[in-house]
Amino acid sequence: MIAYIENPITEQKYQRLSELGKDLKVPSMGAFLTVEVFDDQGRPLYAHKQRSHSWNRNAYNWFLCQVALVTRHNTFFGDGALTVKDISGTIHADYAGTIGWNGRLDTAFPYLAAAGQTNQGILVGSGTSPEDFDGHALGSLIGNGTGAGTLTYQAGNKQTAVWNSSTDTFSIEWLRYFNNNSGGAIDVNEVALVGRLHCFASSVWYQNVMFCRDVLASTITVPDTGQLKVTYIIELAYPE
Amino acid sequence: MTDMSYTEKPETEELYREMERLGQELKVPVPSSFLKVEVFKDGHNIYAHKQRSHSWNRNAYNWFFSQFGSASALGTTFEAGALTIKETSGTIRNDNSRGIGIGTRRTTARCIEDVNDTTDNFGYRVTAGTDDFSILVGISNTPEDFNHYSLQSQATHGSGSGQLDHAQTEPPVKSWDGTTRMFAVDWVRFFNNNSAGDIDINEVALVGGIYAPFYTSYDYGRMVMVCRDVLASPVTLPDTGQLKVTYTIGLVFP
Repeated sequence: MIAYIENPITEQKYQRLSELGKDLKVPSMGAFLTVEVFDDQGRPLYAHKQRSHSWNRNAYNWFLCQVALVTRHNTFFGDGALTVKDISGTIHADYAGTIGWNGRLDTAFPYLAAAGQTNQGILVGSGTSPEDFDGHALGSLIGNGTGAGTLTYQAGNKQTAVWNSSTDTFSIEWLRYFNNNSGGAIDVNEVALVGRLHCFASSVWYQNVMFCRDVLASTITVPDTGQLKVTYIIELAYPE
Repeated sequence: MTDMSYTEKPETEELYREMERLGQELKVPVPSSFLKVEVFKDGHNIYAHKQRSHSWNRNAYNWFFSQFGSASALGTTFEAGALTIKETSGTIRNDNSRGIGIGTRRTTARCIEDVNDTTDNFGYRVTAGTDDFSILVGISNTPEDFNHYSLQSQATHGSGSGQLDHAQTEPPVKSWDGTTRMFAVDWVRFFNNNSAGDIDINEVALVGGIYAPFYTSYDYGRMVMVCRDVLASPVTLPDTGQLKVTYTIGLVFP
């Protein structure tokens, strides 16, 4: 059983936003996050679901560049600029294409990471610093491995959108497993979604860009030999 | 000089603002879209109104969901439950290995904001005379439909009866308002009536040269209508008059 821990007052606001979007035909993207922990026998030890609260400046700039079909504006990363800051802190502001995913057959999905990859897809960390709209990376990334303080990052799976005809909603789940073979318990405090997208420049087509970082309400401990499962669900309600 | 009247109904305007406030508070991007229609005759502004654009359509929704969800096309139809694109020609694009949107540019020498012609097909900005994408206008008052993929009766380019000379799309104007925290982009296009008769404009559309997934070459986009606004009443463009249409697309930042 997964506990839904969203504050009822904010949940009401999210639902109102979705209703308004349907009524007015204005798309507003919903995002949920589930975090589950299993023991070495696959038995559930912990599970919760919440709203993801943290589309950041990168995500906003991505959205506006797509919907308005424009390229970058200014060269800094802040109010009044349309740029991207990748997870290394580099700002991308070339005057060329826009920000987005064009889904080439020979390139990966933005959120689809390979096993061991810690610069794309769902990432986790131990940092507790508050979410920041201008944040571009996890506060303290938990690395891939089997040494102390590391988790073994599994590969993501290609996902397919699902249509719910009762709610007129498209949703898609991106999930990732992390195995703890470090010899000790590991505390997880933050989760992020990092996409690999075109960001203006043609010489280096893809950049790894964090679009949301959720700081968990309380620390989640993954025991030694345990498994962590993190799922981001992105949805859009249609005005059918 | 005619004052620009804001024709949005107060009750719906309040709902749009409520939605923008909630989006800002919850950090959920909510696009704002406005439409301005102006008419000039002999250099004088004889008509002007501004309203909300009410009509992001299925193409737009599928585009946005594909981008943010990293979702590839699904299904072969263009209806609820299908994640496809319907071009203005009526062709449905649905290659299930690709996403919808633009992620690159045509060549190293061209920008998405540069003027494009029908061999490039990227973005909203086109050459004079191009009437298959960018801002387009028409004479039909058929109600807006979420599934519409083209104008219902387009006023094509030309100087014959019922036609309009389509000017080049203006370069986009980007602005940041630190008070409202809105980043806005204005897309403008002029249309000149040299048809020797009046033309009643009833519908306006935004058609993007969007890289719809589904194509084996990534060198050019497909023409995709993402919104179509039917005007509350016909706007008459007199002979030798000029029509100016502005779409303002914005986002209120947290």
